[in-house]
This record gives sequence, C-alpha cells and structure tokens, in this order.
Amino acid sequence: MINRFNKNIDTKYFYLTMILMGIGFIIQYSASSALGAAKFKDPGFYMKGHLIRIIIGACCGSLFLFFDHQKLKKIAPMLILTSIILLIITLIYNKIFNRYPAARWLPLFVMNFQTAEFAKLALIIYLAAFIDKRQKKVGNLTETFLPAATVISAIVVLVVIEPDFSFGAVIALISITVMWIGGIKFTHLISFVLSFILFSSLIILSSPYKRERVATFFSNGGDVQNAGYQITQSLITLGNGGFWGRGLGGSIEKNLFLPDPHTDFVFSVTGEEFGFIGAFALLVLFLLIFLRGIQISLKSHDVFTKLLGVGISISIFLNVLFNIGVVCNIFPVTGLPLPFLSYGGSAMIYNFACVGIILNISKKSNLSTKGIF
Amino acid sequence: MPTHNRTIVYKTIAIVSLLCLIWSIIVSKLFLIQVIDSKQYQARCKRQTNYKKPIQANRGLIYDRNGNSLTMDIVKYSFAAHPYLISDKDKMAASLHNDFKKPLSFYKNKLNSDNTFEWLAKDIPESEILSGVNKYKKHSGIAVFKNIRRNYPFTKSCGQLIGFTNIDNVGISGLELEYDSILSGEPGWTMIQKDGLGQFHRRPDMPYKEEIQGNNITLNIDTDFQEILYEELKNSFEKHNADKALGIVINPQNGEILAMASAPAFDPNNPGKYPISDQKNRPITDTFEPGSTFKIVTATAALEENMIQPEDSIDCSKGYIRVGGRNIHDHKKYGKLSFTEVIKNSSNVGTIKVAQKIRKGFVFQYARKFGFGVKSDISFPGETSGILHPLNKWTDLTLSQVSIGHGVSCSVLQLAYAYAAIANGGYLLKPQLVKSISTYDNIVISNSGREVIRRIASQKTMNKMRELLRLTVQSGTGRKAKINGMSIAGKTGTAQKIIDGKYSKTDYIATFAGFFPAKNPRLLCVVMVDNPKNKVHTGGSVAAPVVSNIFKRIYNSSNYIIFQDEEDKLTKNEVKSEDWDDEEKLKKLSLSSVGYASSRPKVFSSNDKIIMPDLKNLSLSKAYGILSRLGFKEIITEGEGIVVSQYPAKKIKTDNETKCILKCKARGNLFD
Repeated sequence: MINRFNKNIDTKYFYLTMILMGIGFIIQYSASSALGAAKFKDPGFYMKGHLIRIIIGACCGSLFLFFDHQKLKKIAPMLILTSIILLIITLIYNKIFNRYPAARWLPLFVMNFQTAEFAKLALIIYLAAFIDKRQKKVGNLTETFLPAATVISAIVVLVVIEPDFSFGAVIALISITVMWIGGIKFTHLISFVLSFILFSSLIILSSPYKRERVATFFSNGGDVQNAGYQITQSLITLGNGGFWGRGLGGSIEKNLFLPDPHTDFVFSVTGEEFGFIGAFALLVLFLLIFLRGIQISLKSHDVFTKLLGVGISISIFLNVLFNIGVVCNIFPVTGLPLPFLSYGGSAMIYNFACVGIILNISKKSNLSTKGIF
Repeated sequence: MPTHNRTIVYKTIAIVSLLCLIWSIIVSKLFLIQVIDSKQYQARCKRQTNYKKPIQANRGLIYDRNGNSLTMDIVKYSFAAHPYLISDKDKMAASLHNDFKKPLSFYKNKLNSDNTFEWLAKDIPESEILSGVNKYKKHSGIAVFKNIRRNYPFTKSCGQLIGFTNIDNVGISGLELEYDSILSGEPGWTMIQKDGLGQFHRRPDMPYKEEIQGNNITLNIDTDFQEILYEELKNSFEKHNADKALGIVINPQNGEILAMASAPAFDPNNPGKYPISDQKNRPITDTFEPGSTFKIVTATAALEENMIQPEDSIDCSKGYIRVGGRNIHDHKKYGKLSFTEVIKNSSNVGTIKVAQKIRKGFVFQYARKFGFGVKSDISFPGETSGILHPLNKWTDLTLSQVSIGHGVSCSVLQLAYAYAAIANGGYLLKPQLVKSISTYDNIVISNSGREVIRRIASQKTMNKMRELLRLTVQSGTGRKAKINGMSIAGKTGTAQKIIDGKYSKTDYIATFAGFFPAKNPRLLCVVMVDNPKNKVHTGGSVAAPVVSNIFKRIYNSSNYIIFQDEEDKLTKNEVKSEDWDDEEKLKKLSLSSVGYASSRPKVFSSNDKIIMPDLKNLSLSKAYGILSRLGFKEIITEGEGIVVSQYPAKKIKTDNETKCILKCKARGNLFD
C-alpha cells in the first residue's frame, strides 16, 4: 500500500515500526491508566496525550520520508547552528521563567519540546555530512577531528549544564561512535573520550544528586525508601509478571507503586503484564528494527547516508538498551525514555523523524526484498 | 566498493555486535528476574499490595414465640477528630456542641488538643445527629466510624433475660452470653488490593472467605406475657417498697417458659447505668427460702406413700410444736384440722406432724424428686442449684424446718417446675426457654419440645394435690389470688429472711405459686416479693394478688391457644361482667393489652408504601409486633408500658426503610 506512493520504500522496516508503535500505544494505555485516574480522574488521560504525540510525530516523520536525505547534507551547518541557538535559548528561557528544576524544555504549540532531541539529530546529520566532506583528510587532527570535537563538545556541554547528564552522555557516545565508524583516528578519539570522562567525573562529584544515583546503583537497590525505591519497584514489577505475565491490564504494580509507569518504567509494566515471553518479544522487535535500519544504511551508496543511517539507528537502539538496562538494574537510573512506548512528545518526534529518514534512505538502497535480511 | 566504505561496514558490524552483546545480557538478566527469581518478587509484590479485610458476620436475632424480634441491629456513629487538620475549630466546636450536647468547652479543648487523634462522641444513633452525618463525613479532619450496635426494643422487661453485648458484639450476659457462639456466626475476609497511595481496590479474582451469618433463636417467651409480668412485678415492687420482686410464667403441661422477669430491672441499651445486681436474671440465679410453698413436698410424699388422706384429722390445737429445743408456731391456734385444712391454712404444726409421721427419708427423697437442690440444666448462665442438705446431715429440727420450707433454698424457676409437676399430673419437666434455633435464612437447625425429667408421683396423688391447692385459693391463705369465674389453684409462702444467721422478725419473703384452670392447668405463675416493707408481708396478701392480676391480664389479652380446653372454657365476657363491672376500670384496662384482643388495628399496605397504623395506647409489644410485621427494620423504643407517641404519625404514608420511634409510658397499677 505504502509502495504505491513511495516507490521502493522498505516495507519491512515500515511495518515493524508500525507494529512497535501499535504495541506501544496499547501498553501506554494500560500502564498509565491508574496514574491518569489518580492524577486527573481520567484513566485515558495519558492515552489521549500519547495519541496526539503519535500524530504530531507521524506528521514530522512523513516530512522526512518525503524530504530527500541528500539535501540534509546541505542544510547540516544550518541545523547545527539552529540547535546551538535553541539550546542557549532553552537555558535562558528557563533561567528567566524558572519553570522546571531542569532547563530542558521550550514550550512549543501544545507541548513542551526538549531541544536536546533536536540537537541530537542535528549533530548526527552534521557529523555525517562533515566526515563525508572531509573523506580525503579524515585522519587529520586539525582539519577534521578538532572542528568536529568542538561542535560535539559545545552541544554536549550545553545539554549537560541544563542539567541533563544522561542525555549529554548519550549524544557524546553516538558522536564518538559515528566518528570512529567514519574513520577518525582511534588515538584522537581516545584522548577525546578520556577528557570526556574527566569532565563527567567532575560533574558527578560536583552534584550530590548524581552521586546518590551512582551510589544507589552500586548498593543494589537496598535503599528502598529513597532513590533505590524506583529500582526495587521496577524489579518487583518485572518479577511479578513471571514467565507468562498477568495479562493485559493485569499489572498490580502500576497502581502507583511503580514510579513513572508511563515513561521511564513502561517496560516494567510490559514485563508484568506480558511476562518474560512478552518482554523478550518486544526486545526482539527492537533488535529487528535496529538491524534492518543498519542493513538499509549499509546498502546505501555514499558515506554520508551510511553514517547518517547507522548513527540514527544506533541512537534509537542505545535508548532501548539504556532504558531497559536501567529497568532491570544493569545500569544506574538515567531517565532515558523507551522509544515509541514511553510517554513524551520530543522523543516521539525524534523517533518518527529517524524512521522517516531511514525509510527515505531505503528508497535508494539496493536491498533485496526477500527475507528480513 | 572503496576501502573507506568497507571499513565503515566492518566498524559498523563491530559496534552492532557490541550492542547485540549488551542486548543479550539484558535478555539474560530479564530471564533471571522474571523466570528464575520470579517467586521471590511475586511474594514481595503480594506483601506490599494485598490487604486482608475482615468481614463482620451479622449477629443472629432473638425472637419471641410470636416472631417479634427482641434484639435489633442498628447503625450508630462514632466521631473523632484529627485536630491539626481542622481549620474552623470554633465553628466545628459549636456544631458538635449542638449535636452531641456536651459543653462547648469540652469540644474546644478536644479540637485544640496537641494529640493527633481525639474521640468526640461514641455510638450516636443517626436520628440524634441534628445536622446529619454527612456534614461530618465530608469535613476534613473529622473521622466518622459506622458501627452496628445491638438494640433492645423491649428495654427493661426483657433486659435480664436477653442480656446484652459489648462494643465488639460479644455477648456479656443473659441469653446473649449463653448462646453467643450460636448467635455470633463466623467472620469472613476478602483480600483487597492496595495501591501505592494506600487506597483500596476490589478485584474479582482475589481470594476470599465468606462470612457465616449468626443463627436466629426463637424463644418460648411471649412478649405480651413478659410485659404483663414485668409491669405487675414492678408495680408490686414499688407498692410494697420491696427489695426485689421476681416472677415466672410457664406452661405447666410442656415446660415452656412464657415469661420471666424481675424488678428492679435494667436497660440493656445502657447497662452501665445500673448496678450489676439488677442485670441478673433473678428467677434463675437467685435463691430464697420457699417457706410454706415448700409444703407441697411433704404433702405429696404423705399422699403418694399413703401415709395420710386429705380428710385425716391432725391436732393443731396447741398452736405450736416443740422440735429440737425450739418452738415452731402457727399463725393462730387452729384446733383440730383435716389434712386438707392444714394445707389450706398453711399450718406449720400440722405439716410438721405429717412430716414426722412419714420421716426424713421420704421428705428428702421427694424434695429431690421435685428438683430441689439440683440444677435444671436450663441453658442460662449462672443457674443456681439451691440448697438441700444431704440426708446424713439432717436432724429432727431439719426435718421440721424443711417440711415448712425453711433450711432449704431454691430458685423461682425450681419452685415453678415443682408446682408444674402437680399441675400436669406428676411429671417434672425440663424448663424450655428456647423454642428453636434457625439459620439466618430460616432453616430450622434444632427444635425443642416437652422433656420429662422424671415422674414424681401418680396422677391420683397429683389430682388430690391440685384439689388441695384449689381449695387454698378458694377459701384458704391464697384467697387474694382468686378470680371470679376462674378456677385457680395455688399456695402461699411467707418465709422469714435469714439476717446474720438468724430468722428475722421483720424481713419476710412473700411467695405465691399458682396455676389455672385448676382442673387442666395451662398457665402457671410463681411470684416472689423479697422483703416487702409495708404492713402486709405475707405471701397471701403481697404475692397472691400479683399472680391474680397477671392471670387476669393474660387471660384477657391472649389469643393464645392455651384456653381452648372445653371443660374450662369461659367466655371473656363472663370474666369481665363479674369482676370488672366498674366502667372506669374497664376503660383503663382497654389502654392495656386487654383491649387489643378485640380491636386489632387494621394495617394498610399498598406496594411498598405503608400507611402508618395508629399505635397509641397499645402495649409496646403489640405496637412493636405490628411494626415488625410491616417490615420496619429500625424501631427505636423509649421507656416501656403503653405507647404514648409514635413517629411517623398515624396515617402518614411511609416505607419500611424509615426509622420508627415509639415513646412509651409505664401503665401504673391497673387494679388499684
């Protein structure tokens, strides 16, 4: 059906993401109903909001689906400049109005927009475009590495001081990955990573709230009353589901025991209602989408497209791994949303934009249509 | 493909492999949590989300033989405050003062207290809260507790018999105590889901245990009789300035207890206001020296053992007899008396002479046969066995004393069943208080009927005894129990009380035991008045009129089938025209239950709308019976006697969910 309008679009990637989105919608409704009922006397409150965000995200995604990704290369510097300006505006705006404890959002139409999401996409596009442009001198320190590192550092620092440490770390991680794949010298990256680690340890030590988070992680959820409470509840939620789960709507823990059942811990509710079998299936779905995205990207014809596709595929998958890693207590609490399942507009727009770009890339990739891979 | 492109592919594959490794670690961790350690987490989940909520079982009700409920469960409210949550303290204190009647300062102190919790009022029925329960329920900082409380509509007249329960609905005295395990049922529980805010959610799949409702008990008691008995006892108690007055009405043929009361009584709705001694069901728990009423033992023994005939003459001319160094006197010098006259006039000398003739063995044996000195095994807490000394401790003096009812003691219950044996032709019956026990949905679990303990004497002997007792009322000491047109049999007793181990010259116990109709007795009544302090103190002048009044009122009020016997059939008009010719008295009587038999109020009911009947001037038990038959669930009574005002008013349309209030007034003595 979709092929009638978009010749050669990769239907597998399209349908996999649509299935994920549909599952996400159902789980979101189930997970958020008790919270919505308690906070707004409306079990469907978050479900409705999620639907609006899906629609906005889908519009955004279609924009990228029809927008030739090659043109992104040309507007990349403009995008990166815009994102830096937006991040600065975000900081200033929130300083003035002092609306949230963290200066992460700008009001945009019906929702608050997290400018770092835009910056993340802009940075991936910019890095892909930049490395593509400097293909011949990719190993050069001054002409390739330093300009790229400067841009990355500027954005990461602006995100970290919001403060949003986890988001900054994810941006840095994706950037370094894209640069390494793009051919930037290992030694350059190592020194960059080392200085980044130094920088982040300073940040962690300077803020008691982050020290606590890390300490919580190492104390293995023993401190139920405070920060470890979230993780303890998350594990109880998952474990309560058992192998087969309690069935859709059968979650007990979502009744306000589990904090943020609709955002960061939506996967716990999934695990409780659909059991290990459901959680595993969801993980497989994420993996398939990731691998298909990588495959589409690698089958493209130029360096820019490859790096762009690989970069955004990894960025989505990293969020999946970090979110679920936190939920099952492999990583410390980061506050990263689960793509397509968590409630939140900015991430939804970002994810749809990425899907749009990948699908646009798939139009020109020489993919075989038989089998998933 | 250019080399650069190829390295991009290799490096991408390397990164993807790394991410897949992390992915598989996550999957393994999930497997650990959700499959291997799942049980442990499920247990923790249960611990924090499940709450076992108890479900109270409804306590069974106690009914009289006509189906009137003697107990009622009504909703009462208790109020408490969390002072720190109340903002408008002065306003609230004023409102509390207005509703709960304690001084304003009391509530102000409570509301300004530093404690986090303060009781304001306990067990207030909804009708007394003028500004309504909801006002307090909605007010923040006020906690309202809804409690099911036992209510006793027949207040004092049935209080001692029924007893009462404590705030946990556990029986404390009377039948509520004796049958607690039967009435209470078994509480159940449901598992309830708690959420993170501590709020509860019911889920259909949660385990539960159903409560078992308590069983209902139906008594042989007739509340009409019970009220009559209590009123007459109370009147006598007040008139004679007595210490107490006890009475029992039974059916001598089958042993059913129809009424049982004593004065002074207590209100089981408010037991704390009365001394413990008023809470005992005295006819069962208290002992007394039966005096001359005990002479039936000697008489029965003598007649049954053929040692004497009613016409045999006995010399009582001395007016006293010397036994064991003491003189026992008669009321006056009688001269020569036949045995019939000895009983009729209640001659101590004559009775002792007969007792000496038949010797102590028989007197003791017959006393035992009549049930004295042993418990009747009626199911009631605190039953007394009375005292009958063992034969080997008897002296000649003991024989003489026991034969005239001194040196022995018994309960009113024991005395009543001893007389019942004479009335029914020689059978000692087991007292039957409970008619049946049934489940809350009216499935009968157990039924009780006539139970014979033993045969005391032959029909022939008992016929003679009945005749002796009839003559006693006809022309002997029991004349005051006589009712024209009715053949009543009975025996008086006047015992001197033992004060500090000696027989008192001033304190007496007046007793009368009587039954009617004399030939085929259907009703037996024993009344004992303890220490009447006015001039008259004998059983004949104090207790006999009480029994007479009780018989008259029961006879006239009753639609009870006990009087259907042909040979004793008397029309009610006969009784009325002969005895109560006084127009005024008749009018007064019609206020009591007497008038009820002929003019049962008509009850209209259409659909679920009920038109309130006129209950004014009816006895409480009649009015209550009408209301409960109309299906009213909550009937509040105040006082006892006849209804003086009712809510809702007569002819008002209402439905049976309405709370009814009956205000009653004591009737006073109808026969003076």
